[in-house]
Amino acid sequence: MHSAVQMFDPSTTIFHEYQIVGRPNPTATQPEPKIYKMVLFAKNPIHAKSRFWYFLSRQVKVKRTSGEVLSVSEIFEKSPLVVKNFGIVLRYDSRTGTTNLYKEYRDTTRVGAVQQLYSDLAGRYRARFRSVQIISVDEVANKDVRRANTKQFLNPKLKFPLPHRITSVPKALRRTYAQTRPGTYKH
Amino acid sequence: MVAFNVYHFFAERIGPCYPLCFLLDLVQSNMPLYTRFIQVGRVVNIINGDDADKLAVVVEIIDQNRLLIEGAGVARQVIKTDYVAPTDIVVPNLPRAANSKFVKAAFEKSGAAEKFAQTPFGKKLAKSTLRGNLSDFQRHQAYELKRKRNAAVAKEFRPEAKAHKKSNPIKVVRK
Repeated sequence: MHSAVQMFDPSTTIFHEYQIVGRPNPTATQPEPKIYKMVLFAKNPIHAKSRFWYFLSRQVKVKRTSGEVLSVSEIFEKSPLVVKNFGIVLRYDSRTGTTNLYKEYRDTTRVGAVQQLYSDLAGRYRARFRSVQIISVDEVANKDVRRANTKQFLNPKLKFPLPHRITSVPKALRRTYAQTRPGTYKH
Repeated sequence: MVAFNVYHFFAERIGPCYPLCFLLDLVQSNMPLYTRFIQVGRVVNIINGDDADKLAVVVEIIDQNRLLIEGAGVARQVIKTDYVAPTDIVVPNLPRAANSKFVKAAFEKSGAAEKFAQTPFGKKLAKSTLRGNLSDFQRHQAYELKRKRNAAVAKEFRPEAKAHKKSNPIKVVRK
């Protein structure tokens, strides 16, 4: 199901990386307003534009009604078949306050790492998309990896068994009675 | 020693079919519990997706759930460990994340495909593929051949079966 084409087909990934360029509307007093560029992760270009105005209005006194988006372009991974470590710095609003976090994930794409991040935060912290602000997503060299969970996969002679295998049977082939007793031990 | 006692505890009461007993058998015989490890160079059989039933080699381990694999006729791709079945074969001395050309050459040189075809897993797979690709008429031919074989076997053993039946009559108990 996860063939290479499907895995990196932008239409099947939940998040995409966009570069958005926008500015406040030109006025008589400010005929050439400052242009702002932002790179962010969103589900679609419309969502991306919305996030752009959200983040920009927190830093500069502009809003959607008095500004314009000049371009929205998707950024694709340059090497989607090379495994990398990603260090993500973020802040999220918990029920009691705002917390800064640093998280590490191993993935082949930035978008993949961000997808892992949102699932992880949803699971561990019950944090929803709206309460998470990604500050940076950076590739981390093996020697600079900080988290034990990431470090364990850097061993060049890494090997591990698959002790509990549950083979998924297609729905059409599922039966009430089996010829052989099911088992999870497969060497 | 504990394993031995536990084994006999269950074997005496439930019989040797108790699900844990085969594991304890291994412990007693000092055999490794696991032999098919996920590691760089491990040849795996793809069991799901577009490349199902093809062989590939593990090129890089992303995490415990995902691998980067590549094979002859299998493009380099990310795959879930659930979607692969590790085989007994390992391509020796394959460095982590080797380039495509190197991996393909090493895979060819190791003769993994031929070695896999010799293993029970490979033979079973070849058989099921062959069966799956039969036409309706060929399935009928196989059915007829199997019928003939069974008849020949039955004929050969008929005197023995008869003798056995005679010496071990079925006792019907009526109340």
